[in-house]
Amino acid sequence: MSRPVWLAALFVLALTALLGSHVEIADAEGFRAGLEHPFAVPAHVIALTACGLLAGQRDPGRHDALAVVFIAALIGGLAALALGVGETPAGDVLVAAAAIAGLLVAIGRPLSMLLEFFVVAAIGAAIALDSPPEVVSLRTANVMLIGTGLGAAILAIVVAEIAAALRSDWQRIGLRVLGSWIAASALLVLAMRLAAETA
Amino acid sequence: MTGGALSGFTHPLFGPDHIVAMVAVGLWGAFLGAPAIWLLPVVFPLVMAFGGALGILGLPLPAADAGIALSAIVLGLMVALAARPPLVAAALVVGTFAIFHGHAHGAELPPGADAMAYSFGFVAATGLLHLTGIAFGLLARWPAGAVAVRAAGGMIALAGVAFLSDLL
Repeated sequence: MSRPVWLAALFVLALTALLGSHVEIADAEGFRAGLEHPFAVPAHVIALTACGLLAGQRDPGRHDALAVVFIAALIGGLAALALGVGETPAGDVLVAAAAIAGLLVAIGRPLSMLLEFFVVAAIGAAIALDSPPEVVSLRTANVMLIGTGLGAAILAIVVAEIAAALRSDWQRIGLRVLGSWIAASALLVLAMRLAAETA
Repeated sequence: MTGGALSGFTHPLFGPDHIVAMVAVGLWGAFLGAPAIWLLPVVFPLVMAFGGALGILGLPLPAADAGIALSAIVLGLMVALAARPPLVAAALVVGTFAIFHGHAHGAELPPGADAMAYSFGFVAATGLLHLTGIAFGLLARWPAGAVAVRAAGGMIALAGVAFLSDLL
């Protein structure tokens, strides 16, 4: 079994165990809405792309470790939401973590492993916590959370695998350019949020 | 999401002063060769975002519009004269102007749900203008191409003079 398939399978199994339920046909709409959510929110797309680029840019050992940390944090965040955690500053944390991840990609050289673990964990948890389902039914909310987690994992893993496959010098430079664009745009958004709060 | 990104992407394309300066950055990077040719598109957006953050936060930068016009003049002249300063000096020149460009455009970024898509579109458009300049600048490998690239640098410098004269 290839690495991405293995990770996806691990993720689905963990979520299923976490929620202790199975998806019925009636929940398909909620599941689909959750699945699409990470692809529809710009900050989520950019943060997950940064996370995937960071993992894909690293050697296979660290790539796998970063993926596991990301998925563990994602599950942790989803579990916290399912257990009814209140409002969090997940939106701000997500943008800040995306900025740091983009910067690490732009630098293009492995720095502190702890910092990289911290950044992907922050993205994983913040993606989940920034995706509270707006539905009345608890069951539908949980199914939506499964979809959100799966969508986020798919996006990050696909980006990571594409980035890992890019090996030529120009391709690696392209990844660094993309990382710098992510870091720059996240920095601008952080400044906007700070300006709005202080206004 | 696509609306916000598209809106941000087109924003810098409606500012001729921004366009010519960004293309000049790419042209000069191509003239300077490695590592400037690839370091530039990585570093410029980050420095520009720093300038943008200063603008968004309302921190004043004196004569920002004049600085943008001056960037076209200086960068255009660097290309026209085929100047090859040390990498650090070139990076300082480009970085300084990146702050001016970022500051001027930062205040124009709209707040709201699409802010991230807008910002990314804006940064990506700027980066693609660099890449356009780099692609054209690669013609400098051939004698006729070098003449064309230096002529383009001269025209950019003249455009910068026009922008500056409009401000005075």
